[in-house]
Amino acid sequence: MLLRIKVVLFSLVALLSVGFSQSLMNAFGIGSPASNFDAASMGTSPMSLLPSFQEGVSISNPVTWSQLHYTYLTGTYGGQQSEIQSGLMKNGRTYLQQIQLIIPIKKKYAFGLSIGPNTNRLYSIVGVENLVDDGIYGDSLTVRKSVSGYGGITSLKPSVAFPLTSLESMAITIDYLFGSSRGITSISIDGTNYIQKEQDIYSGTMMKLFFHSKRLKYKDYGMGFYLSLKNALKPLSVNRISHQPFEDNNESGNHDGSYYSDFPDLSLIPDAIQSNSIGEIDPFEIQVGLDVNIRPRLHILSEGSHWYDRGDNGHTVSVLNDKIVSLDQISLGLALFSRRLPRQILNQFHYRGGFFAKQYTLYHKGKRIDEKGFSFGFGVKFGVTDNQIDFGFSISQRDGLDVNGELIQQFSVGISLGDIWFIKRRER
Amino acid sequence: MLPDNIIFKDADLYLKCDTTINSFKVFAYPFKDSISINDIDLFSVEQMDTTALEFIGATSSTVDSLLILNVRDFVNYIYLNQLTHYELQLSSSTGNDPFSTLTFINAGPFKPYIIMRYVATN
Repeated sequence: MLLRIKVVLFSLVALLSVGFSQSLMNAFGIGSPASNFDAASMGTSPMSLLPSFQEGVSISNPVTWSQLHYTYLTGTYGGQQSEIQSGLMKNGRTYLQQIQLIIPIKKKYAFGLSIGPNTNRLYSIVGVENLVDDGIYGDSLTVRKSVSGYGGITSLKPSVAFPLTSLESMAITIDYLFGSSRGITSISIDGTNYIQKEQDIYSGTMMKLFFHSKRLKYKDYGMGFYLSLKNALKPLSVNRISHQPFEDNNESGNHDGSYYSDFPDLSLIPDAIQSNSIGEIDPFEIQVGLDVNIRPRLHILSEGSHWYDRGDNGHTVSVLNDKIVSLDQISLGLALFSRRLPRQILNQFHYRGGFFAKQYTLYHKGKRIDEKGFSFGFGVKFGVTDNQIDFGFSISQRDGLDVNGELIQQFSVGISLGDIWFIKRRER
Repeated sequence: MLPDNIIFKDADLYLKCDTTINSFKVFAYPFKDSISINDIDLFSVEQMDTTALEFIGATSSTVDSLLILNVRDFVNYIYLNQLTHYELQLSSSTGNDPFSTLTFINAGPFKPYIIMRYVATN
């Protein structure tokens, strides 16, 4: 039978004008490149390079770990709440930020191993409802598109630190990135949902070099200069598994049911389509920090960083067909550390605070997204092995997205348990 | 060429016909095997392919002398490579008036055609 075929295609991408969103930043590229900070770093602006955990030590900077007196097992738990449009829409979540083992060796070397989420792809974007006229069928359809995703990338990081000279030291971190995320696209047409699901699988290896020098001096102020460079040993690649779309007749959200439920029948669909290397993220990052010891235990901390992605197709991974191509950040903080052997309870505390500004640039739109905020926190030591609990809080406002004035509040709680490893005990 | 990962929302087969009957039913079903057009007897019935669907469409009237059959499922399973043959056989419902005639026209400007709507999520 000879057939003439007329096709009416819904170009629904245009319908994705944002009516409501959750963490829109997480929907760009593979997600927001912001680092996961330990609780002490979050309280100090947040910054990861400069010492904020103890005097001379940053949990997130391995070049400082040799200054620790004990081996530490650290766990950090955090949460984030974002308010859009003056609190009319509020979203929040809590998550494990990292678990880390740090072993200082003879005050010269250090080894560490940490695992934690690297990138978060939790997002939910619901488009506005549109009435679409179809001239060929001669009817009008009520159409709404929504996309959501969850999952992300996990990071496993072994690190080693070693001295270069009596005043300089260096550390190397290898960052193994792996994990997966799920994306769900749902198009509602006249009340019937058409759903497609896909899974992204990530794999990549980064290397980060850390450098610290105590050579700088200004008058009587002790100064520490910190530098880090991050590059890809194996750029992060994304493989995608795309499942067949289905008509969700039983409104379960999943492709299930028998012949009279979801369409097409689950037993009559081909295998999912696997696409390799649909996107590549090839980042480079430079961080520079200065730690000025202005008074005993009191430090001014200043850090700047520039991150950018040299990969050329990372935007195709995103439901928004865009990605964050660069992130610039500056921060200024103040930290008053506890006494080594405190006699008063207030001297057992570390006090931290700071300001920060970030600017993200989008690849396709060239749009700049600004985020400004402040943070504060404290930590308290306890026990003979300098165990420590840290609290960090951060409040910032993000502008420049389709949804302006997004207020972001974050908290982070870290507990670090010390023990004696590789340290010679005194004979009794 | 249709893109990957689409789902058909609608697909209707339009057949031009000539009839004075007001009420009737016509079924269509996919073949299990291909047949030669020259071998078809007037009342021969081929075996149905019930892999994906038993029959397609049931109509009771015509619009502007066009019989419209809903072939959405049929087209979608062809797209998904779940049917081995793409022919359809039409069959009169046993409930129809046996003394009435329905003539399908497949000539000149009155070729059968399909109008489809599909949903692309990308």
